[in-house]
Amino acid sequence: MHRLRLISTRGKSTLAEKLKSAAGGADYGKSKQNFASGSITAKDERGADFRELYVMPKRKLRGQTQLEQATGRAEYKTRSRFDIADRLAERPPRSEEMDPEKQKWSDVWPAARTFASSVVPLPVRMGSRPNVEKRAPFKKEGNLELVKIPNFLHLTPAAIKMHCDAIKKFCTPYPPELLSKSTTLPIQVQYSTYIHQGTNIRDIRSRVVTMIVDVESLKLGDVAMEKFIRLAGDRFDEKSRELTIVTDRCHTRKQNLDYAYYLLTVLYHEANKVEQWAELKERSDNLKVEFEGSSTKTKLTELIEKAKTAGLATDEKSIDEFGKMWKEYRNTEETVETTREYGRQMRKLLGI
Amino acid sequence: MIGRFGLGRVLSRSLSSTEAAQKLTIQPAIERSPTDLLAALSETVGPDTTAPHFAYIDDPITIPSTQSAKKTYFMAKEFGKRAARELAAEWPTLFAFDRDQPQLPAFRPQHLADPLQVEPTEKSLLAMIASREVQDCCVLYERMRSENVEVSEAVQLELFRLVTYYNSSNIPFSEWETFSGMRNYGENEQSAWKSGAVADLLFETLPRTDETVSIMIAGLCKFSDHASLERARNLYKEHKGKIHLEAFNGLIGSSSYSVARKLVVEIEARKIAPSVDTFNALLTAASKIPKFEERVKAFTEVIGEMKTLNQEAPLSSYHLIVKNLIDGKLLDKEQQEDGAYTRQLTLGVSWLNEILETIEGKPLEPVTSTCHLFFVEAMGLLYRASNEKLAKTLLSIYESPTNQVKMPAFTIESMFYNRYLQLAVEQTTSLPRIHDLYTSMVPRLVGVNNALSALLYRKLSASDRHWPLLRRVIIDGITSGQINGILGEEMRKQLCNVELHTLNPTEREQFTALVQKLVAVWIEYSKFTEERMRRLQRKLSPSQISECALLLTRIGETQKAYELLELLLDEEAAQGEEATVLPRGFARPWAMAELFEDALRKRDTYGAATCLQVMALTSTRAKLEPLANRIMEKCNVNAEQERIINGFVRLRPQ
Repeated sequence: MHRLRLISTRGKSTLAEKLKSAAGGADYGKSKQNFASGSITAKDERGADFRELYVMPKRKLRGQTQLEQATGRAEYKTRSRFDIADRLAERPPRSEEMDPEKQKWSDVWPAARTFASSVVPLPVRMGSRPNVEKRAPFKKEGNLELVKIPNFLHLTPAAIKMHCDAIKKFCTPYPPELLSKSTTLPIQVQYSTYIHQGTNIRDIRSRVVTMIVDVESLKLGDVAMEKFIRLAGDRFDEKSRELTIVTDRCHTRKQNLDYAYYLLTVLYHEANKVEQWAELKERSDNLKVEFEGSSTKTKLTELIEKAKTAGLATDEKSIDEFGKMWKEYRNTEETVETTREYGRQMRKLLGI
Repeated sequence: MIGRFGLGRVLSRSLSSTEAAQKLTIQPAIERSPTDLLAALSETVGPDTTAPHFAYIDDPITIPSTQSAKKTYFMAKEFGKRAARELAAEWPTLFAFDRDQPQLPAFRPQHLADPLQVEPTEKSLLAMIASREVQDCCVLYERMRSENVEVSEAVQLELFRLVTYYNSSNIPFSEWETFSGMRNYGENEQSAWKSGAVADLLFETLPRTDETVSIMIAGLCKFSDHASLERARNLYKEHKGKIHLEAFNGLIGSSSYSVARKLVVEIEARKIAPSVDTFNALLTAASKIPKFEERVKAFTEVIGEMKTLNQEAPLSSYHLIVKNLIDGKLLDKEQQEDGAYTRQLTLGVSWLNEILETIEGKPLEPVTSTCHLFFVEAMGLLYRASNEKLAKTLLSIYESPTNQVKMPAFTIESMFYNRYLQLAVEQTTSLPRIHDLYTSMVPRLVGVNNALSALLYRKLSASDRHWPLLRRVIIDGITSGQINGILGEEMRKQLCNVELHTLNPTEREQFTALVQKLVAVWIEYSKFTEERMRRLQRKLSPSQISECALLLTRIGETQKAYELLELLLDEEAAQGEEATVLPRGFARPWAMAELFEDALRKRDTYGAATCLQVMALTSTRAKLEPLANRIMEKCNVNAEQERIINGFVRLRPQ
């Protein structure tokens, strides 16, 4: 059976159009529209065509069309494009079908990789907008900011726990002696190993070795200790009593480590040596200002004697305490607190 | 070292003096190989079923859906790599930033030596032989002969080995090492023995020893045609010395089973221990027996012989058996009427059952280059027999960590999984299970293909609705170009059958988006009216238009639906060069009826009138009259409009 051709040839209008015109108003304003769009040519009194003054081309500029399309004022005319098969071959983002109950995240993101919006099933946003309350930051799709930053999606707590469990079988127990805080090992050696993706496994920074020595463990005498500190210079931390040696002058880590041990050995033996000129040392050569033998102490003793004769209730015994404070006061940076303490001790000493 | 000793002294003094008790108990390290730690970490990572194969870029536009797309993408990548190597070999100075350590030869590719340019010495010939550039070797050898350069017998023998093994042509694609794409996709035609080539020349030049004759026989049998086989047999008969096993293997493989048996007796008489290849050659000879019963008997004999000699059968032997158990002619559907096919299939499955029981749990390693083919052949047999249980066992054997025999990913492995998936889908009635299976394998392991999609549509129409599966199958169909043709029709049918009230709001949104996309694509395909693009055009058929209109009304896009329907009433849309509608076919009556009812419900006079006019294309006046009456009843129609409608119906033929 062939399709019947029954469309009215007269008007070439469909039944619906006829019904519309019967209801009235279907063609209302059509002529007006036509005139506005310039399809009706106007003629002047002599019958010649009215030629418009050329101001700008009649066609709309691209920006104008785009603006109209974006605001919905103009119809968007689509044209079939050659690459239709390629456009259709695009799959929906695979994060859509991920099921947290059936799939582990660590299977999806097992190692460090650049952010991929189609893989991460999180509605993350990133970027700066002037008014965040009005417009949220940009979505993840096609967001370069998210690609630029390092992400730690492979190091979720669950993944780390799994890794730890997997390699636990290779671990021996930690030395129990070290668990108690009282035990300190005299030498710590620190270095870093650098691993990164690339064509070269070398990294110049890996040669640097830092050795930290607990100086007390060397059991140096007072003289030797002083010499040691002088030799160490700013490598010695007085607060923690630690010596830090950083070696990076050799090419390999092993050489640098050997060199650090060498330096320590030399330092130790040098500190223990007593040279002839060392005996010439005077009080002013001390590392710190001492209370014993200072003019302050002499003057204080005299002052106390005088105060005693004047009948003040002096506290002679606290002169040692004062000495300790004085030593600290002289050997550290002066602060308001230390000055106050100084005054308090002095008043106590003199019984004022 | 000085430092070390110094430290020993320092520490021993400092520690021993006061704190002798400060002793550390450090356990000896647990022994492990350099890769154990990595292996342990990698065990925490399982397969990602939503991801593409790792060879592809994980991005929606680069994840291939079909087998052909996989091949295209993979080969494009590989050709890019080859082009880059070529550039680096041609202009090495442009890539002089040489900081890789240890040195990576892939970054420093070098051109192969040109046989017409290199110095014609034995050394360069040997280097070429080592790099297996067969044709270059031949050219260089002939050049050396023409320039009267002496080639020693040992080098000639080396060359003879190479050219006979490869029939004086370059190595086949299947032996390419660097480029896996070419290895798996490249196809060499079966070549016959090149007579009069360098191999023959060398054979005549070299003295006839056991080795040269054996090499020649093996080569002639490897590239066998009638003449070369005849020559191989003559050589065998004429030679008085001891022939090597490889030559015997070649002769056995290219003979009939009865001749092969005699040759085996000969081997035994010469006290040569048979190898796996001998048995495979024997199985090849046995597979040529035309009668089923005798063939099975021969297979049994060979396997029995292997057991007697404590020779464990490799998977390639099982492959030969499984491949040849059923008569080739019975694989044709028309020939399967009598019971022979069922009988042979049953026997095949029981053989396979035995084989699987033998290899299950054992560590499997590739012995010959065809071992991996066993899996795909066995899956094919099980698919034909619809035996899902054994198929599952086979799959678990293949995927077990003890199995080292792996099929190439995009060619044979995907065939294996495709067969398994089709079998599993056919045997399952539960749509959620099918959904799980399908999403975990497509498109990662199995490319979308028409047979699979058709099977899924069949399953979907047979059981209750399952929207996620339907959506996934349709989306896969869109990505793999099934949108036109019979599967496109199936998509529309399935979507029309979806009961929208059963879907939740999210699913309804998905439905809307899918329908919009499909209709837009069909319309775009129909609009390729320009001359140069017309080959892409797929005109809209009236049935397609009616179904699309129905789907559009269901998602609330009534206006678009009527615009589409009006195409059916527009004569120009189906005529001339600019036509977008097929002139043949009819709108679907059920779709039109629903559209009409919908228009009446909405009291849409014009919509109902359009439907009426479309229905009038195929209906008579008697059928149209009640419809016209309903329009006048339900819709708000004035007298003029009533007259027009009545007039329209009266003008239809009786």
